[in-house]
Amino acid sequence: MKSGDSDTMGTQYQLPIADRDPSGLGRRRIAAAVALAAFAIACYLGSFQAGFIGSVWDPVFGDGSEKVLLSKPALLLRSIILIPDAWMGSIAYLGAAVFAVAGPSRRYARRPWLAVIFGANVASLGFASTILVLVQGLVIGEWCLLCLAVAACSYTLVLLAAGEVWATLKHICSAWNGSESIYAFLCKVRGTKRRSPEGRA
Amino acid sequence: MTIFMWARYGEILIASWLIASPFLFRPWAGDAGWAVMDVVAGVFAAAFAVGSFWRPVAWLHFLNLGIAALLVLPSYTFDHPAPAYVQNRIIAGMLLGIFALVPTSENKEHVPDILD
Repeated sequence: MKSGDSDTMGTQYQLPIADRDPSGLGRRRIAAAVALAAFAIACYLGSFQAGFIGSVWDPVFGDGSEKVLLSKPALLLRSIILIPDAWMGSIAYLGAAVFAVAGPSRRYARRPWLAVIFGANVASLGFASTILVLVQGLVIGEWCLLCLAVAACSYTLVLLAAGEVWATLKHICSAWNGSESIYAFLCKVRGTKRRSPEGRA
Repeated sequence: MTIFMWARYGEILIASWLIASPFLFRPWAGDAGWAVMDVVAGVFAAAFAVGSFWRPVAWLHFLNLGIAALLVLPSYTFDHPAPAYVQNRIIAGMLLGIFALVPTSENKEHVPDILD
């Protein structure tokens, strides 16, 4: 190491890293596949809401799907967000797929903010799915098979993401000692080298 | 190590769609300004995405978050039912924002700089 090399001066932080990788690529690829399946279903449902297709496939509840998708709550939501709510959901599922595959292995330690965004996205989807299922049963009084399938995808995503998000939060908490700069804290969280003041100048 | 920056290709794809949008949805009649805005936003989004391939300014894609906000937020000045080109702008803006959040070197195993 050359002395005065700003990139190699400073402290190499070593936070404990778990033997088992909660950010394993296998688990994240499964999450991405589930999210893409939900994305495809939501696009299909949104196409009905937008009027591109005339009916919705539902072998269990019959025309219940169409009643749900064109119900007053759905139309009210559309008047606020300006696009079919199923399309809004499909954007969120595509985001979940993107954030699931983005980042290296052990990203809870190397790219923790990506894991946090993924967790927030998935948690929002789980919360929204719960609300939508409750509205179907309690307000509209009809059921929509594909909407329930999409909700099931949301809960699967929550289960798949929970371990990584928990590991990320533990990693971030273990890095924080309350007295250092934000820059040093971020360096420690990511396990990267902190540049010396001379190197940063 | 060669890094496949797929998120940037996603941004370029969305930017291309934005540039083509006015010719597909034809909002020229009363909203020519919005159409020009779509094209300009698409050109800037593509420029930021392509610029991110150059390592010293690999962070440029984060500026696409601003482009996404400029696409989505003013669209909510429209009343329901919004025209198709407005709905298209909302969706394209949100997708652009998602891809803009993914860092350029996101699959790199070791990152030497906090801003990399």
